[in-house]
Amino acid sequence: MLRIKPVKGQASELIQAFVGEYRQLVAETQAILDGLTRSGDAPCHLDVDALMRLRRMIHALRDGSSFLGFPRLAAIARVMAEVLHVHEAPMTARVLTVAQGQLLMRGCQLADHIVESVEAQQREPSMEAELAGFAKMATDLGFLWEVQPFAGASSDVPAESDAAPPEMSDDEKVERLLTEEVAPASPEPASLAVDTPPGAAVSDMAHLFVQDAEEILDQAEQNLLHLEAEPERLHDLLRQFHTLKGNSGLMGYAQMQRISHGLEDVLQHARDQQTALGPDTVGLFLKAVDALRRCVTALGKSGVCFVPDYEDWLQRVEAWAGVSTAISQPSPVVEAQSVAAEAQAPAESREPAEPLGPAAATREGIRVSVERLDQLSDLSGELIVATAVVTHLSECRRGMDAERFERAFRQLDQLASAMQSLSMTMRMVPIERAFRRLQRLVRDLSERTGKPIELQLIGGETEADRRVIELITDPLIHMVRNAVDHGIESLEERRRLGKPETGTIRIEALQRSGEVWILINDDGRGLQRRKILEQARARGMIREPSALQDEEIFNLIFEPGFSTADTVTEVSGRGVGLDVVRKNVEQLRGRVAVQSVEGIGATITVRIPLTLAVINSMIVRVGAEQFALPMHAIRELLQPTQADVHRTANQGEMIYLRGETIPLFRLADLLTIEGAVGCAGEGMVMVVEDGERRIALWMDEMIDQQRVVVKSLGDSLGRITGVSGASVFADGRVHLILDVPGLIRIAQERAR
Amino acid sequence: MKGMATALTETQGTTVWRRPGKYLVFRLGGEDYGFPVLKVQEIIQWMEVTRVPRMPDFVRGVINLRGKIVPVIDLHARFGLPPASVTARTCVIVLQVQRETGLLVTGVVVDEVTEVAEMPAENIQPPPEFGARVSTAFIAGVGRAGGQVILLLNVEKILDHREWTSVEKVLGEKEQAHE
Repeated sequence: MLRIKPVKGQASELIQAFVGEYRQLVAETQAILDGLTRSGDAPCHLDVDALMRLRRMIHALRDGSSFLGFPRLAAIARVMAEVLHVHEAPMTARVLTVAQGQLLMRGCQLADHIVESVEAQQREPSMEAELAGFAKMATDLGFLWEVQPFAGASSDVPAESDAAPPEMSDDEKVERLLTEEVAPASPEPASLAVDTPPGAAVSDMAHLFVQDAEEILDQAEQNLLHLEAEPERLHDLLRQFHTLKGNSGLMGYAQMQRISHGLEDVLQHARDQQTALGPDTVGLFLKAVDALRRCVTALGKSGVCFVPDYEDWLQRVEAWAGVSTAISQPSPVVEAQSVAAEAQAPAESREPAEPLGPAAATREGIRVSVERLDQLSDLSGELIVATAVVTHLSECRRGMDAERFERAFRQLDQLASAMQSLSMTMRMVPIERAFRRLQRLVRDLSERTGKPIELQLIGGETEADRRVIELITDPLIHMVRNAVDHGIESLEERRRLGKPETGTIRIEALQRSGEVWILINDDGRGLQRRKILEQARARGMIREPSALQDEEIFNLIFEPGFSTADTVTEVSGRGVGLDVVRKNVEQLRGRVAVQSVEGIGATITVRIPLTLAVINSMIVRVGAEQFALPMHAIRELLQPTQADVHRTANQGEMIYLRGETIPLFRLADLLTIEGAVGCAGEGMVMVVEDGERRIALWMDEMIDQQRVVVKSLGDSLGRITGVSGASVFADGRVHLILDVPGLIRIAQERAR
Repeated sequence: MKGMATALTETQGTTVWRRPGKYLVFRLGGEDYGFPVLKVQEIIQWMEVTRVPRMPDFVRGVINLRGKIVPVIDLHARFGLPPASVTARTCVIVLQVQRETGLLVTGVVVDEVTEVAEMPAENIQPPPEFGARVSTAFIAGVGRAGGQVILLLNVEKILDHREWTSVEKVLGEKEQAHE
């Protein structure tokens, strides 16, 4: 290690100079730091000047302390520098979040404390608890790239002061080992001259890595699942693990690198020996993929790379490969990592292998074809030209040619819509993505339940909005579980019934009239009408069972907590699941319906609009207020006459429509609006439907049909029943978009 | 930096009201109130608000703030004061509060914005226990600036949207109970 070790006499002088400079710089930044304190729990704004001063102070602290050999001080300063460096584009003003502000403050306090002690005793105080706390704060925010100095490592000056390194807590051990995981290349974590790259760059890289790794693992899983039928997939697999190994090596994720290396070796061996992987090996490979995927998921969230049960995996993989010589002898670093893995393992195993949550999804990117990007840049180029033409025309207005102006405007309009639809297509991803997990799921479920099942996936190339794909994945899983557990009969039963032994689940996606349809069909026993009715009656969900259509009865299975399962199995039966299906589908403004024939099978049909950003809607007026009602929910429009409207004693108003009675509600009542029309002969009635229930809404006026851009109402208002979003109209005013399933729910509540 | 450390403990302690700094002062029903400037994103002219159904009455509705939908609340109603009519001086103060879910942006209608006042710690008193027109829950402290009394407001409490949604939640729960 290259470090100038100051000789004794010089040292105190140098330290004095350092302390003096530090005090000076702190005095200069005092006002800024006070501002930080004052901001309390609000985000703190730092202008360019304040930022510069703070950085100067912190850099001086960092450089000075590392030169003088105060590793803790230097490490604190590095964390603080990171806080100020993040997202550093050019020098611009920036806002510190509350947590970042607090971290900075805490750093200042600790630095103050250490500097005082350094001045008095020329050495760093031992303040393990405080430092560990700070390290935790920093790690939580993702600023800590090396923890050595915090983890109880000894201070160099004076060397004899720490005879025995203090006992480390498990946390500290983990943290310490984390360091080595992140930067295994630097054997001397305390060599301070070379800084870690700026935080932003590292996390961007990590982010890309996560995205790639997820993709690779998904593909590898698919290949594993089909390996038996198509042995040539071995080459793909080999390539995938090779890439994964390379990428993780590049990022310094040693554990992932070693595991993927081992797996690659196993595959290599199989290829060289021309042997096929047995089903057991494939199963283990799938488990390994799971472990790696969990590791990648955690990496995306926390920036820390840990393979759950790393040591076990390493041993297992190396044993398979039988080529442990190919992998270098375990170095101290590796051993250390195993300790880390042990320490981490319980925490990891407690966490279920959850699919990527929304937290991770928010940062996820999207792959866009170059072709579409090219189109977009072409279009935006044209848009600039078209705007210039319009500007030019409006400038020389005197001799303005109305026709030319209009033409230019039309051009502009066309370009704008073309760009809009193109940007929509960029959000489209094949539904394949949502299908991927199903192969695996069915394989696992089939194994667990002992029912042989064939899964047919059709139409994976069908595209839908990215958010649709995200939100439909969970419902698909629930529906497939349900089909396996409740639909498909046991092997014995199928034999007895003379059905083919292998049950079939068929999932088909297709595009139809602006919607994506997903049909989930199984050839099992179908829904049991009688059982559903019994349950529903027992739970007081229905009053007159005889009046219910089959469809209405089947739809009861989507109610929260509804379950006809006699026993709760591991797979399903707790009554959660299918209500998630309806909830998510409704969130996507879609509909679910079930068809079933007892003994033959059931089909669930999910219909979801292709895109969520723009909807076709009818603008309606109620009192003085206007709303947008999605067209897809409107079934019929009519002008009510006295004769159509009937008031019943205990069921409110009804409207007769070709012999059918539909409950009638005043939209003004549902939305508590005053000053709307009161009697038949006035206003409009709209029959709306949420796919199962149908009501008539009475409103003042129907204004126009329009395509509206949907905006979220934001977090602050929470979810409002009956309103799905808002849209800004041409006059700049906000109009609410009504949500028909929600309105129907309000109406049902009123009717009771 | 020693001074800084003491100031920090003080703000972290129970003495929430002693939060010195700059305050945006505004009038409401003839009295002066203040919001910490750091929580103020911008001040905009009064604009037409779109009412949102099934919300408590102090939620005036939503506005379009440069393409973002932002809710607007009525402080008169929030504080239980008699309603006021919109004048040329009526403004919307746009506040931002950090929440776990992200930055929460909300508009607040006030009668008139007057000034920005510097409020040193020694000029801030704890909120009165009773006697104020406004519920003491909303008041973080009482400030004095040049003979003027300014009620310093607790932004978090005023914007506590759990309370706003409670109305909706109660309705929602009732619906669920029926289902």
